[in-house]
Amino acid sequence: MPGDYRERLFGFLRSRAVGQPGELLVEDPAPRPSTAPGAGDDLAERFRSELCAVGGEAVNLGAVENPAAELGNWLKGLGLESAAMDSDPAWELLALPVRELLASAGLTVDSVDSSVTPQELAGYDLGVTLADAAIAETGTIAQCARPFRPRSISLVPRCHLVFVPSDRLLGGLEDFFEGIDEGASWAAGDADFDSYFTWITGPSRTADIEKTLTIGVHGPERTGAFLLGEGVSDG
Amino acid sequence: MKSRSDQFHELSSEALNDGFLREALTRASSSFQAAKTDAVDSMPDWEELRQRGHDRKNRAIENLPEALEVFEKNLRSQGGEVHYCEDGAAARDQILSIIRASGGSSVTKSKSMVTEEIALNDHLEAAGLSVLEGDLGEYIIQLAGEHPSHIIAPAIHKSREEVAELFHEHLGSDPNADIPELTRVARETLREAFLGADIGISGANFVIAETGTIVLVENEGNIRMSTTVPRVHIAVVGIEKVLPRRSDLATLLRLLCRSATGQRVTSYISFISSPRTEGEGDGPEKLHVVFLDAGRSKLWADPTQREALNCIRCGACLNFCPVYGSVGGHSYGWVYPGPIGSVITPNYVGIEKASQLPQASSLCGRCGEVCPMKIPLPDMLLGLRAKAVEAGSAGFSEKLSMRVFSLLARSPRLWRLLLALGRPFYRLVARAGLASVLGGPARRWSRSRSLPLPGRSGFRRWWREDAEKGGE
Repeated sequence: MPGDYRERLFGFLRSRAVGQPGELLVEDPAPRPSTAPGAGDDLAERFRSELCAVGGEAVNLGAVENPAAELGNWLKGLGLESAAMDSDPAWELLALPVRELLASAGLTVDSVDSSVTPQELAGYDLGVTLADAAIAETGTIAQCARPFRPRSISLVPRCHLVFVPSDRLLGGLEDFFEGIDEGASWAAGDADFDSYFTWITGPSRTADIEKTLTIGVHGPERTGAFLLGEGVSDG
Repeated sequence: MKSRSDQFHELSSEALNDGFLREALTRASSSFQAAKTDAVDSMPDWEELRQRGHDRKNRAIENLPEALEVFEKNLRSQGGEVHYCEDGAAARDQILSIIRASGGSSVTKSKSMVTEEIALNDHLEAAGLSVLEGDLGEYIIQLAGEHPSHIIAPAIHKSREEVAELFHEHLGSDPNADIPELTRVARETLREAFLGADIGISGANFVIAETGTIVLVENEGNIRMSTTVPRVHIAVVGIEKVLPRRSDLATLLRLLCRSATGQRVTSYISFISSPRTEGEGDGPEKLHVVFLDAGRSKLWADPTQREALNCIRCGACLNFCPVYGSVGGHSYGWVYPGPIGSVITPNYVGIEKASQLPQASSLCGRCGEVCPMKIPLPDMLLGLRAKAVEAGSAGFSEKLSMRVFSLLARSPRLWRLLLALGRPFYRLVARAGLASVLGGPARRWSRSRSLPLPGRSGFRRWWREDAEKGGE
């Protein structure tokens, strides 16, 4: 009978308990390693260099004259025809007209919401999303459960294009975990990190055959992250 | 999986005569070693990080019943289900009954050593289900009908030519395909399977008590596929995988990724704490965690072995082990190879069935030094050797020779006498070969080893003369 073993296991473990009662969840803040960027570091540059080091592509739009041209350049060489863009209400808060720019680069852009299936998304060349958070230390994009963004939009299309609002760019891993624990502005409201989130750091990769690195296995082969000079969080 | 760990001698002899395997292991070890060394060198706080990782993991292991209970309570309140299974058979039945209840028939799996341990694929296939491994390396060995030979690089023993041949035979691809082409073929085949799968089965790198979270670390995206597309996600997890708090992951993920592949973090890490949320269109509708004991609670109750449960399966001890680097993963005869395998296999399958494994070490100590969790592997291997002897693993000749040694070592006179007599004998043996001097039984030792010729004068004489000359 299921359930039986649970009782026996817990009975056995309790009879040999070695820890101190109540110590399991005691707060024990992690010291920041010296490699994690802190206040005063150029987070955008660190993010860019870390992501590029793992085969991703990153552009700091806040530091360029013509953001539209940068985006156009990235799209140009990829042979993309169709893009699925999530229905994040935050797109409307941006000064950068992402949708129009994609369309003017010749892509057919569909806005998708939770009714789209992974099978349908697999038919798109490009998935377009906003990051819920980004971690400069590792060049990582974090995305949580959102009703307007299918989880597979960053997974099944051949390429992934993600925009990082400036107020969601964090320093190190500790900043991320503390932020979600403490409900930082980027982790508040309907940003649901307590149900699900994923970290994306560069393109899908494998070295399973003769330890030879190959990019693009099950996930996207190209990951472009564009750091925005503007923020979106209102909290 | 059935253990053949009592056949280490036979299996490793075969492996040592496999030229390609030796080459593949050398290439893999040196590339893994270089990657880890770079990753650690670029982290000045590595030792502090190891200590913290050890302390945080120990916190959970020492409070294991509470940690599991808190995890269970949290995951349940978030809509997940939790099951506890005593052994492989119970876990297989539990998983099958979840699948049956869901009405699904197609399964995609991500790489998981625990599911290897319980031989899940065979069981599900025998029950009429279609099961496809999603990780490229696992997919290769699934097609070949083999088992993984490395914790994080399961098909390390296969050449690209063998993979091309295998794909040609099963998938009709070009028999001369190169690695990018082979990867593309696997992607296309598996993509179809992912998009049509009813059930996704994964392991877990960590589960978090505080938040009821399953953490999955990968590079390919197959785990994201298996945990996003199918209606049901089943995570099969050893009861030791729990960590106290979500914030502990900052430390543990750094330790794991840098030690495993030298990456700062891997391409994808999923943190799953519930089935899909209201309003979401993908992600599993049902989420199950199947906890497996299968020897872990028994190991946990043994204070001399408990720290083996701190292992985060990074594979560093394999990559730096001179024995693993020579004999490869299959020689260990069960699921977990290398130094950590030599420690946990005897604990899980029984010391009497794996008494050779603790001997599969030169006790050089590298495994303990590279272990990100500071598991004292060399000490544990020594302890297990003692247990193996207690369990009766030592044969007549081993016991006799140890008695003789013990007698000599306690009597300085006898010792010196034997040394004096032994030198000419040893020179004879080294020249003529052990077997030709001692006869047949010595062949087992001498056929794969050569004795170096000893010096003309002994160490003691050299020491005395050196001291007379005023040396230190």
